[in-house]
Amino acid sequence: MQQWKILIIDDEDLLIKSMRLSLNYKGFDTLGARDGIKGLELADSFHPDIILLDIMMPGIDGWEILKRLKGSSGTSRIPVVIFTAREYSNGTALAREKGAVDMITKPVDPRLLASTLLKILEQNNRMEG
Amino acid sequence: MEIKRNVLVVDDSLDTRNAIKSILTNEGYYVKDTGNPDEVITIATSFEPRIIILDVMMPHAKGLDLLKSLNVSSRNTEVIMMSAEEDVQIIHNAVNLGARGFLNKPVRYGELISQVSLSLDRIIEREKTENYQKLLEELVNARTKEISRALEIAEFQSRQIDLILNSMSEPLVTVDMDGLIIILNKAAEQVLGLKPECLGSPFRRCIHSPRLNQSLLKTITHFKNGLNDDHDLTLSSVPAKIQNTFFSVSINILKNSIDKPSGCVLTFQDQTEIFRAAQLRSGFLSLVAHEFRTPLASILNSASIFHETDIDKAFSAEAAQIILESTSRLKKLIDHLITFSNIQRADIKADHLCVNTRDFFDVILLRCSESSNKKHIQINVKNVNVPESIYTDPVLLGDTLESFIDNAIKFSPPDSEVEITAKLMEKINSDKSLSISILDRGPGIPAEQQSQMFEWFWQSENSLTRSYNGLGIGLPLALRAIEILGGTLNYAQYPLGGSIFTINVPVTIP
Repeated sequence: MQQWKILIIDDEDLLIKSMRLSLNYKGFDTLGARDGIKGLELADSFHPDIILLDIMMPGIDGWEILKRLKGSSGTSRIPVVIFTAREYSNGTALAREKGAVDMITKPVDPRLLASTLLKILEQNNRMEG
Repeated sequence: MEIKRNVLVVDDSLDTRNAIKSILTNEGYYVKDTGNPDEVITIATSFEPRIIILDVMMPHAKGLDLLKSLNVSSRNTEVIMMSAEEDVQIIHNAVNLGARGFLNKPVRYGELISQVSLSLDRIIEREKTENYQKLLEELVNARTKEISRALEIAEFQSRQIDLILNSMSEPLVTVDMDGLIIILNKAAEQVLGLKPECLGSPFRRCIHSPRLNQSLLKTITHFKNGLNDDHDLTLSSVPAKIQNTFFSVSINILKNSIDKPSGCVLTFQDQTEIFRAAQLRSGFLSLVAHEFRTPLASILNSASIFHETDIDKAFSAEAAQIILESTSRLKKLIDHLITFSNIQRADIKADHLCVNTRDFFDVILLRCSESSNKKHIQINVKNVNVPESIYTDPVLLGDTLESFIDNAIKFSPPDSEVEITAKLMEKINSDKSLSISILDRGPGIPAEQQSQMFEWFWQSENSLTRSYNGLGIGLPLALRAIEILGGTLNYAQYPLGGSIFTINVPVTIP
């Protein structure tokens, strides 16, 4: 089975740690970035298959990071899932409008998260393939 | 009308008097007589004769003089002159003095009766006219009084209504069935910015709120169509934003004296505070939700690995550590919310206890050590001259200090220092206060934001992109606690970068 690479961009240290812990157990290869700039760098060098992106972050917020990811040829094809603790009334539609694949509100059962990510990855793989 | 038929006969001849008396008594008159002119005024005053038959040619006082002193024109009395000679001059004078009749002497029966009865008729006629006039006058006076009273009341009421309308803090506008403004109160002029010229102008041209104008039009149309019976007189309020103020406008129908709708009364209630409070509340709630969700997500992620059958010991230890840290963060959040809800109570008072200052600072530093160690931040406490024991509220002061130190750690760059300086200050009147300043090397708070930083839910950046966790209640909470302690709080930017918060609270020394 292919080992998918996930990049987690979130300013919460504990959240990154716990996400990596649980997703590693689900068989993903993970990497975390504590801020957007670090996240953009890793998106370029780590070549993740999918990115989990927080919105409320210091300095540059998640929406701006999303714009930059989508605007750069090296990263524009990587599917981005918005992963936020903020409640949006029409989150999925908002996320799609801005170029992400979906929006998931924290907290979420890691099993559900893993299966959602797998579904997106497989779909993306089929389209790319 | 019954009239007294009193007749006074004045003549020096007893015979003449008796003759007249007997004739007139016979005719139903009540007659008195005198031969003494000096008695005439006295008798006239008590007897009140309607008719005086007066001999002009009496020896002691001339009849004309007597006539003058009787002043007949002022009372409704007829004087009939008697004289043996028909002297034109005398008659003329007598008439000028108010005499109305004339009898030739010797008096003849027929002439006397007719003269007296003519006089009586004239008296009755005059009396009638007088009475009628009096009655009319009374009527007119009464009506005038009524009208002027009604006018006074109307004026008073209109003044009172003006006063009431103008003393209202809520704007009030009345429009007629054509939507033209007919009444404005002072508040409407001031708050809604309506000029007095707006009177008589269409409401929709003066107030720019499409929603309100639509509701008003709907109401007027509704009543114009005669649908007033089934309609509730108080319509539900319409929200309207006018001149950056949020109003709730209630439209009430105005009915005239015959119960026909004649216009609408609009009252505007300022809801800006409520609106803002609701916005703040919902913002605060979503912030609280956000703050709860992040540690919850960490707990959920970490706990999920315990489902796995082959857990690496190092991983399980890390998961347990994450769960511990996240739960302690949740606990702190709940403590904050409890303090927030408690400290807003108006009746909260400081509870002064004797506090060992060394222990006090040690406990606070211990409470902050977890976060400071994590960022490798050194906290230095400089105790200048603080005595071993002071009287203060250790909980309020401790929580306040902790929140300032927490804040300082949060905003400090890693591996920097936070300096706490405690000093005992003494005023001239020997009142003492404890001054504690907390210095961090963070970014500081820009001058333009310093005025807002003690507002509830304020964050140094807007909440969408904010850099630092928190509910935006730390600073206002601390300020409130310091107020309860009777102290003051000062903020200054540290010239080399950073913030200095200085707390000054009154203390007593045991």
